[in-house]
Amino acid sequence: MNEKSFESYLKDIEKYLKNSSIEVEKASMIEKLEEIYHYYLGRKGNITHILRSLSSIPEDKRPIIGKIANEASEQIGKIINEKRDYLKEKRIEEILEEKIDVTLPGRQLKLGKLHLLTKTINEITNIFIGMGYIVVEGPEVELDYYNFEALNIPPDHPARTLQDTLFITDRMPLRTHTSPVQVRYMEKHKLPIYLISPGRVYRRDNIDSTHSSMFTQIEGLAVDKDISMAHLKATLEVFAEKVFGEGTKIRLLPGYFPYTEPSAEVLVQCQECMGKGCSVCKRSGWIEILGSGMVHPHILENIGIDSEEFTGFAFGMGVERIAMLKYKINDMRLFFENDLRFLRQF
Amino acid sequence: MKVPYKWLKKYVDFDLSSQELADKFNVTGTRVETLTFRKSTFSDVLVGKILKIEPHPKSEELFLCELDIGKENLSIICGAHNINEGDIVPVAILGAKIKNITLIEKEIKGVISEGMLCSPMELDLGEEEAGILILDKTFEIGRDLAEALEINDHIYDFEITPIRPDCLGLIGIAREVAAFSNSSLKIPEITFKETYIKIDDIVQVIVEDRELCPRYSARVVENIKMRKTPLWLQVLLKSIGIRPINYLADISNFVMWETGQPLHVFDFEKIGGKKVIVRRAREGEKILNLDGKLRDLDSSMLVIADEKDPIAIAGVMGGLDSEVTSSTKSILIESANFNQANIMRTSKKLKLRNEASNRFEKGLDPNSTIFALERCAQLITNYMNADIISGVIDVYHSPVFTWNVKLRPGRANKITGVNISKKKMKDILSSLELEVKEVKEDNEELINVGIPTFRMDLRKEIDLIEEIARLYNYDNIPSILPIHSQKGGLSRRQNLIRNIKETITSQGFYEVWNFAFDHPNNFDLLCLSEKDSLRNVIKLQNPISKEHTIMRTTLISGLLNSISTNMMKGETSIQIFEIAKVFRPKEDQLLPEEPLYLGVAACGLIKHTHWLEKVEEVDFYLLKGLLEKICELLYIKDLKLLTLSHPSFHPGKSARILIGRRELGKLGQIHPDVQNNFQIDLPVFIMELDCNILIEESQKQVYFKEIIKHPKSTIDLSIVIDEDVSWSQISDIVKEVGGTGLEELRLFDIYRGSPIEKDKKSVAFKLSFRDPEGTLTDREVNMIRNKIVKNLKEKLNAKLRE
Ligand SMILES: [Zn+2]
Repeated sequence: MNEKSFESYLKDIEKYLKNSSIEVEKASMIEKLEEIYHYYLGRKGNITHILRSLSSIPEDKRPIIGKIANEASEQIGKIINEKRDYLKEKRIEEILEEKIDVTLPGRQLKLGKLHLLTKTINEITNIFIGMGYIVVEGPEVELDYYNFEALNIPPDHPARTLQDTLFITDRMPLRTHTSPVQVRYMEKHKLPIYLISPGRVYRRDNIDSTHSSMFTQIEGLAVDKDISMAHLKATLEVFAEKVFGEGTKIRLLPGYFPYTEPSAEVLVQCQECMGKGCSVCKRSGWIEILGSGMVHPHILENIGIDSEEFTGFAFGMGVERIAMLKYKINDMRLFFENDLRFLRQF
Repeated sequence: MKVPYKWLKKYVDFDLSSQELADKFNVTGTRVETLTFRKSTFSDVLVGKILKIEPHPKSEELFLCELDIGKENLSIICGAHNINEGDIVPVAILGAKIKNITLIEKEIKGVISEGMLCSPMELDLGEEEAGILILDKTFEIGRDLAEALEINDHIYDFEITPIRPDCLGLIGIAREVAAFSNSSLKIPEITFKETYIKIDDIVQVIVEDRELCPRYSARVVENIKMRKTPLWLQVLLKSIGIRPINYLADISNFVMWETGQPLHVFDFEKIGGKKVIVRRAREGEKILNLDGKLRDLDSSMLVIADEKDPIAIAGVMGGLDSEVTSSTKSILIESANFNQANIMRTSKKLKLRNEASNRFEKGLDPNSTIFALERCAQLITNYMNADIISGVIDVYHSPVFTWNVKLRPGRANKITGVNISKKKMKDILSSLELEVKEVKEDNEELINVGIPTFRMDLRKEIDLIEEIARLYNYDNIPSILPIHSQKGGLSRRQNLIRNIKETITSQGFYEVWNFAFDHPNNFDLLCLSEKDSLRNVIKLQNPISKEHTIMRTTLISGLLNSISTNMMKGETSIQIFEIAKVFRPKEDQLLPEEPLYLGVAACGLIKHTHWLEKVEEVDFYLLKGLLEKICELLYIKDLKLLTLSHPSFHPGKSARILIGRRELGKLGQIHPDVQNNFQIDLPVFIMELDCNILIEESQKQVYFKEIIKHPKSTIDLSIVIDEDVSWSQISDIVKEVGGTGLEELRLFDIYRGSPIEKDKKSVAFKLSFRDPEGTLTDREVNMIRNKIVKNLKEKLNAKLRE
């Protein structure tokens, strides 16, 4: 056994005390302090080692060495702790000095916006997709047949005086609604059909705060066995609640459209006064938002659909009107002026 | 169609307030557009009788009148000369309000006036300023005048649908009230005396075109003494929006309003040959109308003519020559039925629409002519004491009778989605004055419904179902969502369009929506040659404005206009895009092609100035970067840019865009001339792509590529090369030599100027290599590097920059 002498232990302890004190003094980072601690006082540290090897020295000297080593251990631990506290405090002070002005503007990441009409079309489209609908599109320059005749509006029908049409030729109008898309689709596809058709439509209207020669429509069509007005009503209720918010009420009133019978005008609770009555809703508490009804049996028969077996409902709305109500926009012209101050708002 | 509340009460018994009635109308489908309260401009004006007129003691111009106003007598000073003892006059009592002025007791030259006699002007009952309004003897003394004239009333303005011309008459509307309020209709009774002269002896009516004039009924009235229109009628006409003219015109307008049947009154003496001929106009014929305008007629138009000339355009407008005037002694009243489509075409052609043509073009009941004619004759003779010639001329060759429609109650319930009892259905239909009978056919219980001719719109079972639904009340229909099994959702194409839009906005671009119309002048502004294919356009036949005469063939002019207007409003950073259809004629095809285009435009700063960032202006590479991102989104690899020669674009800063061999579109700076033409001060960069090609070329499906775990080695290369060597020439060589191990090639610097010699540039790029098999050694990387340098040197005369 290679026993160390009592004196050499004392010497070592003295050396450790001295060295550790210098090292601690020098340490400028907490990580370094932990290293020092580990070197002297860790599980395999030098002082720990001495305390563990007491059995190898004469019994009478053991208490002395033990006492000295313990004192050294305490001493080193103490200076490390003190230094640690000091460094911690210093770091906090340093961090505290690193200050920026958080009110300065952030870096300019770029983000454009979809046009409000696109946004509104997407929103409405998503509602109907959620109810299992598909989206169908079609030509904007249409044949008279699809825009009028197939929809129960023959050339001398009084309804033709209702809407002034823009024409390319006598038999080729710019579509006045997106219904022709539905006729085209029904001609080519099997039933049942649940579709919506969003798109630009055209009227010979002068442009003012509530009219435009081009605007946007979303029409819907459901043709299936035993479709009834009750189905129409529920579908439009879902639509209104999703667009205008939970609990929004709608009301169906009899109306007239050549392509539906019975027909219904659909009113929604005035968004301005929430049904109490104001100037926007002419004191009625309700605002007309769309037209709807049961697809006229003639239209189905013209396409070769058995109107006894299949019935359907249809509805149509102006996207601008919905957006104007929802976002309280007072002038339709804003949609097509493309003023960035408008486009940035939505 | 305007109707005063109190007038409705005269024609139907009901017990509803004006608001309740309006609600009922709306719920049952007669839309009340507005309900307004009309108030007289005066109050506390009573009906009084002049008992005595004496001169004023101190003035020669004034009179002292004693008036009986029922409860008491008043002494009133008056300056008018048109009054006599015994006259019935309007008396404003003290405290009365006349056009917002309150009447107070006044002393005039020592005498107190206890009120005021009123002129028509003061009461808004006529234009006459001088003179007191003399009322007829039927007014009850002491009665409030506003009340007696029913001036204070609620006025409904209805929006009548085109299939319900019966509701363009008060009686039709009253019939609706009777149906929804379960009350009874009160149609005025008609009685009058006729003279001994027979109408057939004094006038002949010949209907030459029976198709355009299914029925022509007429009466003649003689010995007319023109009188002023009675006050009640003046008040009514004003409240329903018709200007009072003279009694005859006013009465015929009243009857049209009451019955829905338009009438026309001719001055009988001016009908040449005492012959009324209903015929098509002859080519070249003209007529001078009531409005003073001379109109050319053609053979598509139906006219009423005398033995020589047209005296009216049938159903549209009368002629000036046969107009009723204050000296008219005898009249012919026309109550006819004209072909709706023909009236519509004629009125469209002549751009002439009025109350009469508006009714005829909706298709009227031919059986309504006689009632309206008799009613008109009655009112004329009652008030004017004229002589009605005996008999009616009635040319009616193919009378229309009631018809039957069968209703299956089960079908009605299937359509409405409610369970309405058969009894309820029968009650509703009877309330509309339809004949209802239960029948059994093939073991099915049906309701057989007889339709009176005033409901021309009820032809099919579905029409009856609508009547049942609207009177049953839509509010009573339940809400049930349909259960169905169709697969919903967006198509791939629709999804991609959404994704493209979102990708572009994520790069800071705002979406715009321009009109689909354009003007050929914009092609000149775009400096397009006369033969440019973009000038091959779809023209509008009836454009609404001079700016919008064609359908657009490009999105560029719209985008440039959007930039221009935003610049003028002070925007300094404009980056916009539009996805919309353009229109171009297609040979051998009726309808035009409508390809979907994407247009992008940028002008000014890339971003607004910022304290941390360098200000940069938009350039070619901004849009090219966007193009690359769109292609990345759609997994399009084979993107190529070639030089573009296009009059709208800057010759040195623009490019054709190709995917493989397909022409996708173009990209570049707008030609400075075009930029000036659109009044834009800064360079504009535009990209226009065909979305259809973009979507067709997009990759449908991509698969996962194994991620290489080995580290990558990166080297920088900096070469000096001739100015006109393009980056694609360099990168093609680098990629070819680099092979599959070259993971990334990134250009990070282009430098010109000292110490680089003239006509040369320094190009620096970063190369990253990664080997799927293992870690690349420095030696391996060096070998590839040297090979690249060697190739660049040999092929492009490039030198390594030290
Ligand atoms: Zn409101």
